[in-house]
Amino acid sequence: MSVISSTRIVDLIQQGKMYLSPILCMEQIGAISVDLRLGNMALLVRGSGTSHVDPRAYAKHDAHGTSQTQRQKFDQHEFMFREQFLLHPGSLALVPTLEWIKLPTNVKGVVTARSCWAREGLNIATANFINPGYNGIITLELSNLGQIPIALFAGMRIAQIAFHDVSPDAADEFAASQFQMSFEPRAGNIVKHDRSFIPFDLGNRKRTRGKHP
Amino acid sequence: MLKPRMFLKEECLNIKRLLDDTLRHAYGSAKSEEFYKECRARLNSLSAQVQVVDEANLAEIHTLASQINLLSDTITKIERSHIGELSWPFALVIKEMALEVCRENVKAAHELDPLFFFSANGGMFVYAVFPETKALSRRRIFNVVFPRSFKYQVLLHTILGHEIGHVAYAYHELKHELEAKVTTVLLHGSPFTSPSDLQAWLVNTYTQTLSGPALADAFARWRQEYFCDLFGLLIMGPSFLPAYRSLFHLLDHRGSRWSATHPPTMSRYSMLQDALTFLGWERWEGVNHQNLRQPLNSMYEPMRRHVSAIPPEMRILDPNQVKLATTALQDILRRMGKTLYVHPNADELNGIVTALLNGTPAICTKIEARKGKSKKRHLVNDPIDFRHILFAGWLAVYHDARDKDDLSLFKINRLCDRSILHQDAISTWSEHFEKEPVSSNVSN
Repeated sequence: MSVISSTRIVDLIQQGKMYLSPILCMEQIGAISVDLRLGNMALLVRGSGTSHVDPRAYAKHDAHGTSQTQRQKFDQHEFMFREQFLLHPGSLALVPTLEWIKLPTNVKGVVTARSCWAREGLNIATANFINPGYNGIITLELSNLGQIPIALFAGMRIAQIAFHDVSPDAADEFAASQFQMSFEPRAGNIVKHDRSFIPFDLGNRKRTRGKHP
Repeated sequence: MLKPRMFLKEECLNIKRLLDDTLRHAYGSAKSEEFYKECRARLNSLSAQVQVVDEANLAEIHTLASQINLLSDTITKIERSHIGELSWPFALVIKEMALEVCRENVKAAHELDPLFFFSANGGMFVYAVFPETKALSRRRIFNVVFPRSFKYQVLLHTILGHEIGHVAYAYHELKHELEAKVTTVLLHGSPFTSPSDLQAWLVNTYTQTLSGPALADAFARWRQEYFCDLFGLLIMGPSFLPAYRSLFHLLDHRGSRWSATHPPTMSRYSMLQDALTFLGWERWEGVNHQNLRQPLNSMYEPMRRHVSAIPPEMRILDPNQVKLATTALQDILRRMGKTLYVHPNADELNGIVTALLNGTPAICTKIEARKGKSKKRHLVNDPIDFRHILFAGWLAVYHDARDKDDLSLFKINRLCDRSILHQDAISTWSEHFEKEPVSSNVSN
């Protein structure tokens, strides 16, 4: 699995095999990566919204409960270009990239922070693999590891993506992700396919074998 | 009991507190400062009048009460205009377009530009622009209303072209010119040249009548509606029609219903079809691109069939007059920046439709080799007019190859919305681009 060089990245884009747009300046393309810019939205964890992250909250049966848990967890902010968004120390923000990306089925992406921002305390969290065949914006999990707030502006280059060959092509059934064709960041489903391990009904402490709620 | 003047004095203080309280929120599509200053200026003016009004002059007090009530209402609506409730990239382009139409014709014009705020309401048919006909202090404030549930339905938002027509009509200087050069020409020879002609037409067609004041009102309003339809078509381009048809067909599928404020839709369809034929957008001769011809036919054919079935008594406007009015309005719109819609290059449009059908936004950065000996490559981000994106969006909707499961109407709308956002990023980048100073500390 080799890292794809800038020459091949450009070729893939030129040949229409990979979509990555908009690219605003050539400096955005590095030797083995392309810089990604901050998009125009941020989901900030609302301190008063929930007491703690509880996997059980993701699997409530009624639509109101599940949706409310996910919606109330975050405050959603939209901001235009040249408008400031402050990331406070210790806070987590889900933000989209400005760029839309569509990968071929034989290329995966790896997203990391840009070192200049990392030195200011801005961390791009670790869920950084982009599956082959992915199509959509990329969600970045930003956190401020410093002691002072960081002002961010939509359009700034804050992350970078490197590409790797995948051989043979990823099969469709594995390539699809729960976030395929994402237009904006949203909370994922942390209990998907893991429900067997979650005691959903702690109220009466009864365990019902073989039955999923 | 509070005496009326005392009541108003107290209310002015309440509104001052309310206005300050609004600064807790980030509101408006632009900064809150301009709205705050304008509303504060209005409040100061009203407060000063309340201070000196004669306690016994109840008529004057009543007028002041109405104005204070209106200001309170405006401030509350502005406070509630969150950009998170609407597609703000679209709101920005609409604002730019409306500004071109109603920019004050005086020196230091930009300082007196009208202020626009956008709000979302419930319901499917609440597209509206509420313009102030004259500035109550320095600047006029316009309220643009979208349906809340249509946050990303940018393909339907083109109906706002019609509403911007009302904005133009609210601008006194422009209204006279539009009346004389466009509306009068458009309606020449129709039943809408005088209230009595309209009454006669209503009797003949519907065996119904309107009373004196209602007739005069309907006469003025109907004329404006025809004008606004033509205006919407000319500023929004071909994507105005499918949005128009989608909304109006749902409201009145036969198109024969009329009201004191709106003429029957059938007659408006007929006028728009004549304008479309004259503009040549429908046939678009010589264009045979794979991703254009079939959806163009699919989009326009039902409308042609619909219009061909319209009875003669509903074909109210003379096609020749429509042609003359269209030309006259085009001439006026050419003066207003980029307000007039210009048809795209077919290759460009084909590229946009193809991008959307591939499930990607329309803006596609090209990387090209420089001409000459240098092997360096450079980026090309050709500017794309948002109206071309929307036109392409509608063609993608009508394209046979669209996989309706994978590429839903919602996704096409969102891709178009994203494309308008990308264009805004490119424009912002180009507008503020400065060469950075050389630095020795280089890191990635």
